[in-house]
Amino acid sequence: MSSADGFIAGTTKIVDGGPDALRYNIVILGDGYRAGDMSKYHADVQNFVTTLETTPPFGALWDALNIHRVDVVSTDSGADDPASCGDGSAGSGAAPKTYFDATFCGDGAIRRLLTCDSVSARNAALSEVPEAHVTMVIVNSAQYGGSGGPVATFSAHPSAVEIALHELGHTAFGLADEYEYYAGCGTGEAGHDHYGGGEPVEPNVTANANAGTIKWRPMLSAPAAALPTTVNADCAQCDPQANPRPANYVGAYAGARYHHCGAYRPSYNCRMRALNQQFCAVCRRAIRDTLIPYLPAVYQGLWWNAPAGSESGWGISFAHQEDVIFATWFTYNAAGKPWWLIMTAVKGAGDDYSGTLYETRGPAFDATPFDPALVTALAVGSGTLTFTDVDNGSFAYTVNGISQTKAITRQVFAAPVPRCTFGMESNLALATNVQDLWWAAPAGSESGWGISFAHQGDVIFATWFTYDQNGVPWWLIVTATLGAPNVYSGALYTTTGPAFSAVPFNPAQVAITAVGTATFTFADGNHASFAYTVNGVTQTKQITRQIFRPPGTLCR
Amino acid sequence: MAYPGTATDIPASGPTHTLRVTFAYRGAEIALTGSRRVRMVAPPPVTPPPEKGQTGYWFEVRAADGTLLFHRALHEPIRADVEVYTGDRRHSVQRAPLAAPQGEFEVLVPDLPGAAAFVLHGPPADARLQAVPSRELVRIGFDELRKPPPGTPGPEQRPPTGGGPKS
Repeated sequence: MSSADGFIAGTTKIVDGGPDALRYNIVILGDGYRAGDMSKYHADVQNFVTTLETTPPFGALWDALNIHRVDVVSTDSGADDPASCGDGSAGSGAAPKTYFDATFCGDGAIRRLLTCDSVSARNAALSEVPEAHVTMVIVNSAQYGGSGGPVATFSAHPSAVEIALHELGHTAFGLADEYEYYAGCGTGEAGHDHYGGGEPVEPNVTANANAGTIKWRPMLSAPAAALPTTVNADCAQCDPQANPRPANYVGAYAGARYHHCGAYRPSYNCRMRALNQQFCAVCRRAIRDTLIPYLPAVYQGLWWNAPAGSESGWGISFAHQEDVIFATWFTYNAAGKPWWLIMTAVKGAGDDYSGTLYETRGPAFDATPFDPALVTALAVGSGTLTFTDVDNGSFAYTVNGISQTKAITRQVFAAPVPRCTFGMESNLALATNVQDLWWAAPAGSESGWGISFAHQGDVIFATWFTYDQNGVPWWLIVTATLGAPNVYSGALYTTTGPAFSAVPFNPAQVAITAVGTATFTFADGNHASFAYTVNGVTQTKQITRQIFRPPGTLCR
Repeated sequence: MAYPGTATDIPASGPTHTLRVTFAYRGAEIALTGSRRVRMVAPPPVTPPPEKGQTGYWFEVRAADGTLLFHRALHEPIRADVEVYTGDRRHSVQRAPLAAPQGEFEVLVPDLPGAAAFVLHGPPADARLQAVPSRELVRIGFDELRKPPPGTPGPEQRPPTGGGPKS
C-alpha cells in the first residue's frame, strides 16, 4: 500500500448503538473500490450488515454494536489475481493498485486465500475509530475468497459474507473451529485421528464428554442423557453418520478442532463447523456473553413493587445516566404522611447501584423566590438497586435503622413503553418522549425540587417532589393526558398511606385526595412550562431536564 | 450529597479503560510492539478461568500477589496455518499450514486497578499445530504497558491515578 494507491475519504457510523467508548465497535474497510465504486461499496457493506443483523444472536444484541464504514478509495478496482498459484489454478494476472494490496492466492499456494495488508488495514481502522474492537475488509471482487487473522478479509462474492461471519466468530468471540478434520475429509491426513490434549480453552469445543462436568452442561438438551452424543466408529477418518438427534440438539458430538475423535462439539452443525449454518447454541451464548457488557442497560422510568400492583401507593423513579441512577423514592413516613427520599446510586461491579439515602427539606412549593440555599439534606440510610433485567430488580435499603428489601418492576400504564439509551442524542430538545427527571429552568436555579415524568404512549405520569408549607417533604402525582399538541394535563393528587416499613404494605389503606390541576406544555423535548393550581395557589414554572451525565438519556 | 437540583456527590467516572497491546511474532519470537490506553470496554471473559494443562491461547491479568484478575480466550493469535474455503458445501472450511509464520496480533486488555502483569499463554512455537498443554509465552508488567508511547502524550495514555502498582 502506498498513498499513491488511494486515500481514505471519510468514515460513517452506519449502525449507531451509542458512544464508541461504551459499545462494541466493528470497523469495515474497503479495498479495490475506486471513487466511482463507492455506491457499490456502500451496498456491499450494507449487505454484510443486514446479514449480520439477521444472524442470531446479533439482532437481539444490536444495541450493543456500533458499525463504522470507512470509505477507502483505491486507485484501481478489484484485487490482485496472480496468473499462477501453488494449487495449480490460473488467475487473470490482474495487479490493480489498491489501498490495502488485496490479493488472491495470498500465501502463494491457495487461490481462494484472499489476503490484504492487515497491519495497514488495522492502522487505518484505528486512525478512524480508536475504539475499534474488530476490523474487516471487503474486497471489490466477484471472485469467492477470504481469510481470517487479525483482520477478517472477504470478497464481494455473494457467498463470501459467510467467510466474514465465520472469521468474526474467531476474531471477535474467540470461538474454535468445530470441524473434525484439518486438510479435509478423505485426504488421508495423519495426526488428526485422535485429540489427545488437555481441555481446549475455547468455549465451543471440549475433550470432556462427561455430562456432569462438560463446560456447556447448563445448555445440554437432555442433561440426563449419556454423553457423547455420537461416537466415530473409525477414528482414521471423518465420521459419516447423520445427526441422530433433532437439529439444534446440544450434546457432545465426536469430532472437532481438527480431530476425528477425542474432541467434541456441542451441536451437529454450526457456522464454526461449516459455512451456511447458523451459529450453534453454545456459540450464540459465547457471542451473547461477550456483547452483553456493551448493551445500554438503562433503567430510567417509574418502578413500583413487584408483582405489579401488589403495593400500589408507593414507587421509585429512576433517572439513569451512564453509570449513575438518581433515584427518587416516594413513600410515607411513620405517621403515614407523604415522604420522599433521594439516592445517587453509582454502578458497582455487577448490575447493582448503591448510594446514600437522603431526606431533604426546603422552601414550600409556592415560595417566591424558591431559594435553593435553604434546602437541607439529612442522610437517613442507604440503598442498593440490583437488576435482573431491564424491567425487574430489587431495592434493598436501610432507613433509620430499618432494613428491608423490595422486589421492584417497571410500572406499565400505557403503550408503548419506551426504551431508553444513554448518550444517543446530544440535543434532547429533539426528543419526542420526555421520560426523565426535570427541574426548574434554567438548570440549577431552584435546586431542591424536581418532577419525574414517566411517559408511555400519550400519557405522562408525573411525580412532583417538593415541600409543604412546613418545609417537609411532600409529593404529588398527576396522570396527564395529551389534550392538545404538546400539552398534557390532569388532576393533581396527594396521598397518605402505610409507613414505608409496614409489613405487609396494604394498598387498601392508601388514601388519595385531589388538590388541584397540572398542565405541562412542551416547547420541545427539553423545555416545558409546568402550570399548576394547588390548594388554590396558581403558579407556573419553566422546567428542563436534569442532566448530571452529559448528554443525558433519551427514551423513545 | 444530592437532591433534585444538585449532583455534587456524583463521582467523575466513565467507561473502563483498555490497553490496546500489539505484538509481532516471527518463528518462536514474540515481541511487544506497542501499547495504547484507550477509553473503551474490553471484551469480557466468557469461559471459566483456565487451568494448567489446557490447550489453546489465552491471556491473563494478574495482581502483584499473583491473583487472577481477568482472563480471556483467544483464537490462534499466532497463526501457524490459514483457513481455506472450499467449494464443498459440507466441508466448506479446512486448514493449510503456513511455511513461515510471522505477523502481528493485538490484545484488548482491561486496565484494571491492581493489575500488575499481563500473561499470554499458548502452545510452544515448535508445537503450534499440536494439542499440547499451553505454557506461558509472554509476561509483561502493567507499568510497561501503561507507559505512554514516545511522542504521543495525552490524557488517554496516562496511567490511572491511584490504580495499580507503580514500578
